[in-house]
Amino acid sequence: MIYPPRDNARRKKKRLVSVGILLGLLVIIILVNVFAPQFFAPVTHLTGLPFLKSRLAATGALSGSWQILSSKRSLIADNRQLQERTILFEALEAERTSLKVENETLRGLLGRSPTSRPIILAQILSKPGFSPYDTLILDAGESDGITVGSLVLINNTLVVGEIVTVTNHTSNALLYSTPEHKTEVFVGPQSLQAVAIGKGGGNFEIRVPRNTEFKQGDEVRLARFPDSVFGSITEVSGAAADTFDRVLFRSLVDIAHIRFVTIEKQP
Amino acid sequence: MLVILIFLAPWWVAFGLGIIFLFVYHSYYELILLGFIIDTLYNAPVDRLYNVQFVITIAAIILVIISTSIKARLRFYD
Repeated sequence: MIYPPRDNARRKKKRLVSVGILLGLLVIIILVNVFAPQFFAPVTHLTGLPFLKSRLAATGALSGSWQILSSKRSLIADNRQLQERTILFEALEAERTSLKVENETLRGLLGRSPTSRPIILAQILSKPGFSPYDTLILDAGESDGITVGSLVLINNTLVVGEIVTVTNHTSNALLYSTPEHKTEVFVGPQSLQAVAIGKGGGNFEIRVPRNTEFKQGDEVRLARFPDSVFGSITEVSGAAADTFDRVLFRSLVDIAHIRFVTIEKQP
Repeated sequence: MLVILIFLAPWWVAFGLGIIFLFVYHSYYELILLGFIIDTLYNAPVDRLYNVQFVITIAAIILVIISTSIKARLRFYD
């Protein structure tokens, strides 16, 4: 179809105005990112909180219902296996508690008693699979005493990230394993200080000099929180010509199976 | 409806549908709103993105600009 020239010019002008408005919007977004990136977060979190909680409730109910379809025999086998693992973990927990008490006693004798900070339990509303970034949305916020920089732990022992955004009733936690995120760690029995680079999904990479002798299973501790194990080495590799070895380690816990975390309140 | 889907499903479900609607409809500026909500909900200063916290929003704006230019040249959208 051939349009008269006036219609073509009008459509072109309308298109240019649209593109101009969009470019203006782009500039506004860049300015918001520079000067007030968290300005709109409280509104979105407040609006989305009921939907996030209802999604959690729905998925929890569905996952429980799925078990009805499993055969009784497989359920009995699973139950027996879980009971055996529970007994093992209870024994390990008792040993760990005993060692922890001994550690604190010795620190007290040396004048280095650990300072315990208040913690708060928070439910995970959203995990990295739902987010384009490696972040968690937690149902604890400013009203619960959470601040930016608070450590996020699993079972009050394993550090997995820290709070980066706080609204009144929710907060966002950035996982240390976020790709390209750098974290200072101590590696192995010699506590070599190094920088761990996140690879996503609880995996990290470190580059260490070749003469260091690390092996699979060696512990890695967070420099900021050296009292607990951060991860465990899974692979050490490096070509003969390289001056550095590539060490891969993984967080001890898979965040995908965790429903609650503890947040350490800042003093 | 897609706005609610952001909270109920992974982010790429709502955004992917938004991209499809961008080409189904003559104009679909709602894609920018979807990107903005995703960014304000999940955002965090991430090193690999040079601490830019509105990556999805910026990508949505660029996609809408590109689609506006492309549609002007396609007979399908006359």
